[in-house]
Amino acid sequence: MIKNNFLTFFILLLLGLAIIFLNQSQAVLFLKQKLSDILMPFEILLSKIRNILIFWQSAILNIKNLKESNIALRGENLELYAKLTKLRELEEKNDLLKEQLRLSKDLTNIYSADVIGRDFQNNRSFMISKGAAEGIKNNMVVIGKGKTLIGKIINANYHSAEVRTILDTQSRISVIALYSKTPGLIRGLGSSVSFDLIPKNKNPEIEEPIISSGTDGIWPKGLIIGKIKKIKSADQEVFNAAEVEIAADFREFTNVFIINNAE
Amino acid sequence: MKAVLLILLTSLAVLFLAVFQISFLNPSLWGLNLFLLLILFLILVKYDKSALFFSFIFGLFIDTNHFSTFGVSSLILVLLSFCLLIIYKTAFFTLKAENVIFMSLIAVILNRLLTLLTVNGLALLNRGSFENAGFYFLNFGFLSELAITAAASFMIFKLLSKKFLING
Repeated sequence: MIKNNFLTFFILLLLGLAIIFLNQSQAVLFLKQKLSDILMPFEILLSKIRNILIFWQSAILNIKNLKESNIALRGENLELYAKLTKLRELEEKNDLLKEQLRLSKDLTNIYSADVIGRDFQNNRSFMISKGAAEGIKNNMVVIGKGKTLIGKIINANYHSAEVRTILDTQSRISVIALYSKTPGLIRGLGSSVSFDLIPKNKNPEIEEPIISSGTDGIWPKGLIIGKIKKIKSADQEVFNAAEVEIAADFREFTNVFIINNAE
Repeated sequence: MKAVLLILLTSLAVLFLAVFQISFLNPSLWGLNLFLLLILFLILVKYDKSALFFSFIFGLFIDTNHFSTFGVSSLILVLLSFCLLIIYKTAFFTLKAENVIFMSLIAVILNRLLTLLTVNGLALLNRGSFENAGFYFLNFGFLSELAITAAASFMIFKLLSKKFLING
């Protein structure tokens, strides 16, 4: 019995290793693409259901708050509340459209996409609802509201794409502190980022915003990363480093914008 | 005909489970890993081959939306299933409630340990980058996953105790 299990284990182990080491082969890419395509419609459906549930959850919490203020104000009625709820819904839609319009003016070729899947217990990668068929290509830059940098496309499937966020350990971005013009490098640590390679002769301030400098030729200039939280300086080190508070809330956003930086 | 229907239903169930995990559970920070629970369940009820086979399939689904190289999760889950099979057959023997809880705790720890070792092992071969152990173990997510997996597996086995547990 154990011998039999060992044989199954050994075959699957070899198969797993083969998939990893032949990662860029046509067969493995085809398999990954097909699996993503099969999952995609169901992922869109389920993420929409989840978003509706979260909307109603927050709506219920808001009902409680509004009821309390209704009692305090003694003037408003349920009809007015219903109108306000509807207005809030429209306002959110309006904000999103405005944001898209503003971004479209700032940067050429912007796509908008919904987040349809996420990685387990981390924010290092997620799935979006647009892919190669909609013009999405590998290495396109993904941003959020207010031009906050989120990550880049690492795998564009036919109708979906995988985004690697700036939190991933493989992520490196050339940046500059906005006021002191301190150059440096943002490095992903898995669950946060670090502002490294700060020259000793530069003195960036706490709370100073950090933006992409564009000098690496990969990330466009002027995208917001976050702000400096704590500066770490040691005499034996060649460079200083700093802890960063990231501007984008990776758990909150349900849609993102993709910049066609190739054009 | 019956076999074809069974394969079709199993495929649909696996697909639903994968989508539910990726699009519904992963965005929250609950730490409920349905794949791990199902593998654990199959091992505890002695469906050894199914556990190994499903580990491989689940891994492929996870890898469609995972930060590491495609195929890594399959490899990790197959290794995990095999380790759990050996541990269960050599150390626990019976399906008591405390054994179920211990096995689920071991499964969570082993899953993270194997992920850390595999990712760093592949980084040595220039496939990905080196990872810090703190990312896998020194966070709230690890503790919540331990608690939720133990509680969920205990509840599943309590519900099915008449059929599976000897001394539940």
